[in-house]
Amino acid sequence: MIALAIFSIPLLLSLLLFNSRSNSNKLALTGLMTTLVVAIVGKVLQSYGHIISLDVPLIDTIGFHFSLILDGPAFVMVLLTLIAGIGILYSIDKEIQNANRFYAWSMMMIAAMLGAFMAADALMFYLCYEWALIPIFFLILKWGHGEHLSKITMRFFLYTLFGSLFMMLSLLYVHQSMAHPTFEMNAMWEAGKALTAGQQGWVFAGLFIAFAVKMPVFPFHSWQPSTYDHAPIQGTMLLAAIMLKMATFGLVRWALPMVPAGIEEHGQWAIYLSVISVIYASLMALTQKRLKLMIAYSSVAHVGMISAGVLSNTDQGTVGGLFEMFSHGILAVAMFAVYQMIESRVGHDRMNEMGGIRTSAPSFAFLFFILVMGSVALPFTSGFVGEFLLLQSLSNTGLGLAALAGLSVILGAAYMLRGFQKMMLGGKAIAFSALSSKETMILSIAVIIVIALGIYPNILIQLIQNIL
Amino acid sequence: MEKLVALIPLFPALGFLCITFLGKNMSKTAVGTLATAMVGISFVLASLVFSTQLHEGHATMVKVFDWIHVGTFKVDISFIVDPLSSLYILFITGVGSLIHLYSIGYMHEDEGFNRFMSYLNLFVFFMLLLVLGDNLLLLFVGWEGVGVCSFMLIGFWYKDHANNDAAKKAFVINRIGDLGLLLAMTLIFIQCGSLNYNDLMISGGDIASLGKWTTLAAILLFIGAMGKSAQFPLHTWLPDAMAGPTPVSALIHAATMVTAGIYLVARFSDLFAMSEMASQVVTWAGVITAVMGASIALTQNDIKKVLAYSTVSQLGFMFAALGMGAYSIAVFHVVTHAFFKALLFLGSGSVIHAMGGEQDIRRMGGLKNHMSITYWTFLIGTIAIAGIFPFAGFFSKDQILAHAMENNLTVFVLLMLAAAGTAFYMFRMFYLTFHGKFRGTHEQEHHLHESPATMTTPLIVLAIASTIGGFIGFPHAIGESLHVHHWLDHFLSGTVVAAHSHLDATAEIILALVAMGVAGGMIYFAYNTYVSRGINALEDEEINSGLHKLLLKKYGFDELYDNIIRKPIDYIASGLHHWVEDKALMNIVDGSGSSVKGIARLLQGLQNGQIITYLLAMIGGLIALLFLI
Repeated sequence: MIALAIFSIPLLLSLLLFNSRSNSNKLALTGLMTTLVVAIVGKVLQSYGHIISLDVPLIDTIGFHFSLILDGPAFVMVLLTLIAGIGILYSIDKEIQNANRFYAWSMMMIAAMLGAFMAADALMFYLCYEWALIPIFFLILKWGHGEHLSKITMRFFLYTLFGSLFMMLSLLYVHQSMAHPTFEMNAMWEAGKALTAGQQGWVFAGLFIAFAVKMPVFPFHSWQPSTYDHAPIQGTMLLAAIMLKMATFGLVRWALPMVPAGIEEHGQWAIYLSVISVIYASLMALTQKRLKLMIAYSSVAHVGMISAGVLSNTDQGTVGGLFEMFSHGILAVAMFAVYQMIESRVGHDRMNEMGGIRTSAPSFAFLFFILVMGSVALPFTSGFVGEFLLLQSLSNTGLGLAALAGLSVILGAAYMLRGFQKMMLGGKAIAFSALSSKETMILSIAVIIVIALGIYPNILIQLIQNIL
Repeated sequence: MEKLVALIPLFPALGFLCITFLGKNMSKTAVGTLATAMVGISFVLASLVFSTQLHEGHATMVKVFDWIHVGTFKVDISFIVDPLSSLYILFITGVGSLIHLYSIGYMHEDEGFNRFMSYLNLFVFFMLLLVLGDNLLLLFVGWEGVGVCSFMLIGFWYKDHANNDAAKKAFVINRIGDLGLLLAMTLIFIQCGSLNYNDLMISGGDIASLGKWTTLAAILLFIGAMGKSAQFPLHTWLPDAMAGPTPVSALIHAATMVTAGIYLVARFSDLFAMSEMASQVVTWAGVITAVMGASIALTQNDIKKVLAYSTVSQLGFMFAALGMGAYSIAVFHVVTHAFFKALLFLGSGSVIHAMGGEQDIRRMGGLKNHMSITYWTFLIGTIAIAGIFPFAGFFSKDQILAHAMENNLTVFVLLMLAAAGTAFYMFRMFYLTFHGKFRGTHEQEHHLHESPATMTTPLIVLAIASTIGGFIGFPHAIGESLHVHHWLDHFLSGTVVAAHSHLDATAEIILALVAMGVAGGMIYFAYNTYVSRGINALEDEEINSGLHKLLLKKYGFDELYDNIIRKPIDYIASGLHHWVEDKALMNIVDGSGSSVKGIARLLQGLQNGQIITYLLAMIGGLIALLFLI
């Protein structure tokens, strides 16, 4: 029942907020914190042998279960969703129009994503995966900005909806191959593995296209930069920190255990595509003049690395992938929060037109620098542990591939430091007021998480490995 | 006693944290004292650890905690105490604490004093991790950590973008090397199943399972070393790194960090000894760097740039030694070089301090009358690097030459040339700076003064070390006839593959005399040119000779890399941005633009309608139902 509580607290709050005029921010934050406490208590109880998962048959004829589990990978993603969610809602720095609706949609999206992460039923995963799209669609359309907003939002919506169709087909194909069809997780895994390698290859192709659109991976990424750019900043954070993790998590939870032979024998193209994506996105980041877009492309590069490492199907790849998902989620919230802090003070995010912010705001520069280091995967930051394990995993597929993907180590340093230098350093000092205590708090907590997990990653690794 | 080793990196880390978080309320004196004391305590502990190693001399591992355990991949935060690491921590903390002390005086007027001292402490912490880690991954932590500190300290005066550019260049070029090291790690783990020195070499010997990958692994490791130790063709960042304050140049870019590459190769001497080809690559990269650095240094007029190219060249000597299998001798040269090069940099800092920031030796001259401690200590450093008996540089360089003579005559001749060049450019700089007439402004002349005691004390200590430091590695052949053991070679023999020179005493003495004769000739030549005839170095626009211009332009590597690497990458990136990102992909996606618009209008209509409420009611009802079940 605890798994159900984790899923339903945000959902019920969302429904409540649709019909309320109360102080939505406090309510939403309290709700997420309560959920976080519930999740942690649940995990502790589980370690003492309590059953906290839930399995309710819904439609027997097709074997559809409402089924939630909280194993290692699910728990880590739940933690990320809640911690990042709290950070995202806490980072709101100005009055929002129709605030209660804004929070309601955000909470509903969080609920859907929690559902996808905890789902132990393929159909339920699919439904939650799709359902999460509806709240973010309205968040962007209603609270976004820019000229072609509706066009951009539609492109995003249809693109990802279209991608997911392939997942549906793949899941149905596995489903119908069973004697007694069910969407239950273990049965799906077994049924998938029973297919021939060739069939598995097709199933994998369908899954990967759906995930590749969501992550995104080159060349399916073209919805992403403009969506990130025009979405309200909290919407961008939800997309980058949590939503895209449903896709990378989908690789770990559904693709790897279900069609391992298909990946190994007919799925190598996906690894190549991911590596291309890493380099392509790094080069794109290099050409960006605006901070928000630079962060957006840098995110594509990181996700490509996760995809390539995970698909190499080693222990290091799976664990490193989940670790990097967590780390990237925290860093994404923090980096976009940095963007918000700069944009709200300077009025734009064109890096060439800034300079010397460090002189006016030294502690901001200090915190930002550590985040930059986390983002370029410096050892003793969480970014390193994930990227190293992923690179190690990718080397099993091919040292040359690892070398190519590793170029992001160099390119990442180049564009990140260039951006940092242009904005923060130099003699021309633009006016920049000191951070508020709230802003300092957000960045400090992110920095503490990033460094703590870099120095003592084993705590997260052990959580992830509970079932591995 | 070995357990103490865990505390050694801890103190500088504490110093960094204290100054960063509590420094605002502390006086400059307190901050300076704290930072110096932290490294000083580490030095005391390092001496204790070192002295136990003198007696026992075997490797001990001290595990602190589990770091990354995933499946078969197990790496811990764990330290190794053995002759190699204990020697390194000894000179890192020793030279390090002297440079901290010096910085108190040198940086006293700077508004970023606290920041400076905290970065220095952080640097020492990472440098100690680098050499103390008992596995490659922990070495990599220190490796990248010192890189970041180097970045922050090169760009310490961040208001000037020239400094920031130099810092960024150092970091990015180092990252090229780091990628090599990363790939070496993944390769070694896949083939050997471990990253621990103990499994790989000391007791396990798993490194042998590399098989056909041996050469590749060694070369990838060496690419890492090339970045950090500024070896050709990744050497271009080091001279630019002189943009940092002078104590940084002394500590990071001369004595310690840049020798991490030598540490790495020496640590993996078992691996390099297995691959003749990799060893050849190391040798030739070293020789090319040694000759190239020395030749560029001949023409430089910035006192710190001369020293920087000299460092590049000396590091080349060390790699040449490593490539020829003389691992312990390379480490020996690291130690003596740390003494005399730190001394020379600190001396140049004292000069720059007195000259009010002037670094061009053409605007100096006659300083010996104004600052005698700096003059005499600088002279000792210059003699030591020129290779005159019995100063420290003589012993280590002489043995590298001896090895070259045995192994490869071409290498020997080239290194001999580089050594001759070293003697000349060092004394050229020395004479132009300290002898002759003062060539600066009247204002500068009036301002000339000896530096305060916090700065001269380290100079004196380092001068003593540069004078007698060479005796830890007395030449083998001569040593035996004089009943003095080659102490260092013996000490390190448990850790690195030992290499003894087979030259007999007579040959070694003849070689030493020839080398000193060449150096002496060069010194005389420099004296004759710059003191007797009183010639000043040419102004840039007076230079006509093509070779001279080429050297002054550092063989044009910066321009070359700009044209063959940076510009093409920028070109490709912006081409992709224009043609693929903005044109091709967008057209495919928006190809059916009208239909998209149609659906958009439809969905926008939903937004205000009742459908959402229905949807929510449905989901809510479902959940309520579930609770009932």
